[in-house]
Amino acid sequence: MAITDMEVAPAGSGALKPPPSPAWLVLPGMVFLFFVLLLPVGWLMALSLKPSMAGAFSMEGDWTIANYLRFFSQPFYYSTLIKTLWVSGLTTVITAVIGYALALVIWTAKPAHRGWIVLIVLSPLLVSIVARTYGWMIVLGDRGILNQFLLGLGLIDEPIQIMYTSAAVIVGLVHVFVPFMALCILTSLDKIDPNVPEAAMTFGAGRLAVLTRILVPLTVPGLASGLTIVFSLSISSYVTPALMGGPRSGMLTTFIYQQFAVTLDWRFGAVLVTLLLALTLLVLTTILALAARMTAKWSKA
Amino acid sequence: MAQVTLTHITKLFPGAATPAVDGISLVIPKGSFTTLLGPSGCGKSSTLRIVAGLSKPDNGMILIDGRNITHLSAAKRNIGMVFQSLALFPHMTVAENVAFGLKMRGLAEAERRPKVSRALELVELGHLAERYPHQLSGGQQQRVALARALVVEPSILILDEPFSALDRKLRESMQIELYRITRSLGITAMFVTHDQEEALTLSDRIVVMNQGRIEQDGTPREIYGAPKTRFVAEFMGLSNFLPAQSRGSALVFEGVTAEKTMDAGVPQECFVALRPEGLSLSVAKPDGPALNGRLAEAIYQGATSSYTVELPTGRRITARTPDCGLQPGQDVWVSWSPDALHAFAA
Ligand SMILES: Nc1ncnc2c1ncn2[C@@H]1O[C@H](COP(=O)(O)OP(=O)(O)O)[C@@H](O)[C@H]1O
Ligand SMILES: [Mg+2]
Repeated sequence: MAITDMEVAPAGSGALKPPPSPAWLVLPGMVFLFFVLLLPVGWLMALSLKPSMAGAFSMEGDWTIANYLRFFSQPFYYSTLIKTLWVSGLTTVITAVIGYALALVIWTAKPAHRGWIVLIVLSPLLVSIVARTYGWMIVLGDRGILNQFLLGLGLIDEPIQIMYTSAAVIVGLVHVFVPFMALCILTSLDKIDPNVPEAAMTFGAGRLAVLTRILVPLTVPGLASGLTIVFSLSISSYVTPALMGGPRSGMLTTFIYQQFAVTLDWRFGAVLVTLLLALTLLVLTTILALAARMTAKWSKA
Repeated sequence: MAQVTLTHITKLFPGAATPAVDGISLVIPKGSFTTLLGPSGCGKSSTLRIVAGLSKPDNGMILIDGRNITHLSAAKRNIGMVFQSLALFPHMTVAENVAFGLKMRGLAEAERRPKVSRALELVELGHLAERYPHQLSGGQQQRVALARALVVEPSILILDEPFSALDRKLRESMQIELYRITRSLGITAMFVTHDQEEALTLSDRIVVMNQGRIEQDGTPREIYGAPKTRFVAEFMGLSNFLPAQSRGSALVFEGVTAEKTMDAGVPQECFVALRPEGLSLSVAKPDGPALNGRLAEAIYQGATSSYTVELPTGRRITARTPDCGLQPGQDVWVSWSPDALHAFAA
């Protein structure tokens, strides 16, 4: 009986129906995303095209781009955009450098040590953001460890302010985002045949040449995912800028919060949301397109 | 091209009980093709990596043309290496892969181009210069790796089991190509394989390794024709080991006496081995020494057949000869050509 079944199965392959297209499987997810993401965001975008008015949450009024003109005509407003871009860009770059170094350490570590190093790298994610921020205050505050240390050495005469500046925001963000970056890069490094950098060495490449000509080009895919993740997390971060940058951190997210929760000008707030979203999408697509162009020729997939 | 000398090279990996490389001393003369041959795990790759500068020896020295390079980094040794995994640069074209070593040596584009095309011509890949490695077949990738190593005019070309991933036919044609190229360029080469046929085909000299040590070192003829130890004999395809006594210029085994000129090193209580391909079977008792037994098994294998004969002592020997129509159960005589008989210490 079993034998007949086995013989029939391949012979009867004509009777096998092609599996139904799996496209419909994404339908529930699409419906969910439509209601929780596209609809509210679309609604906010539409709202940004209605005249600014405190306390107005509905769609009434004429269509206008006055809110956008207001945003771009006043340095106080558009400077937040520039500052946000600058802070998240710098955060992303610093995170990439530190993350790359950490990924290399993990990659070259003995297999027995690897797990422990990964755990240490992940440790910032294990501490709640509030505890982490107060920890940084102890280090970076006017009478914090860093200032005490520099004063003690006589390098400075009076404490330098770090807390409640962009520098503090960047330090706080880099600290949490480094693990994401390191793990993204590590995934790419792990795909490299260890003989490849060794081959480069036998052909005369020093450490720097191995890094810049072999490892970095081969880890572009991991680097691109790390950069996109860290950039989108940075530009949309709220708690760290609010706690470490102080009330006037000058970041777009804290500004958005003020519009929605304090001045209740949702229509102007919606402008900020739209701009933040557009900016993020622009940067992400640029990074991904560049990475795709760099790897298109040689990657098998 | 250069002479390479290894003196007392030792390498003990942390946590290992025995050294992976255990006091290897070796001179590879200028222009010679020397093969390290041995079973997997005997320390061949470890030795090559030490010569290439990818791994530091615990002890010993490496000299190239008399210059001590033991502490020189891999990048400064002027070595051309072909890895078992090939290790082509996946993000570079064939031409860029080949040009890499020249670039690292500071050659300008105009100087690189003719050298790269000459190297690619040598391995017959000129037409694929702009392809990426993943667009090439296994054999083509192999030749890129070879061109990349040759183009830098290395002091020594190092190859670590480069053909082990190829199928038999491709492997044989690559062996011939490698033979042709290295001999025409007069390259000093250090080759590693666990395949004795490959070693015999390619080498001027074979160094048989076992557990980090050199077991025997000689020309392919010497290694194949006069193995000094049972390990080498087995590795070179000898079988049919029988306990024996040596008496002056004769060997006595299984009640038979055979004349044989032997190395001085063979002790009185020794072993003989009979090469299966050097045996012949007959029903009638031949002239000269021969072993009598019962044919236990006859297996047809095409060009040759494999016959297993059970001797009166219960020991079995196997002969590989052209099919001679004998049937299992028959009483047969086994005789041998003089060079099929070998003797050595146990
Ligand atoms: N990086 C390493 N760390 C620890 N042990 C190693 C390492 N490389 C090789 N070995 C050990 O050294 C011995 C020799 O290995 P290898 O030189 O690769 O042998 P072969 O190339 O002859 O197959 C093996 O027992 C292997 O397990
Ligand atoms: Mg090996």
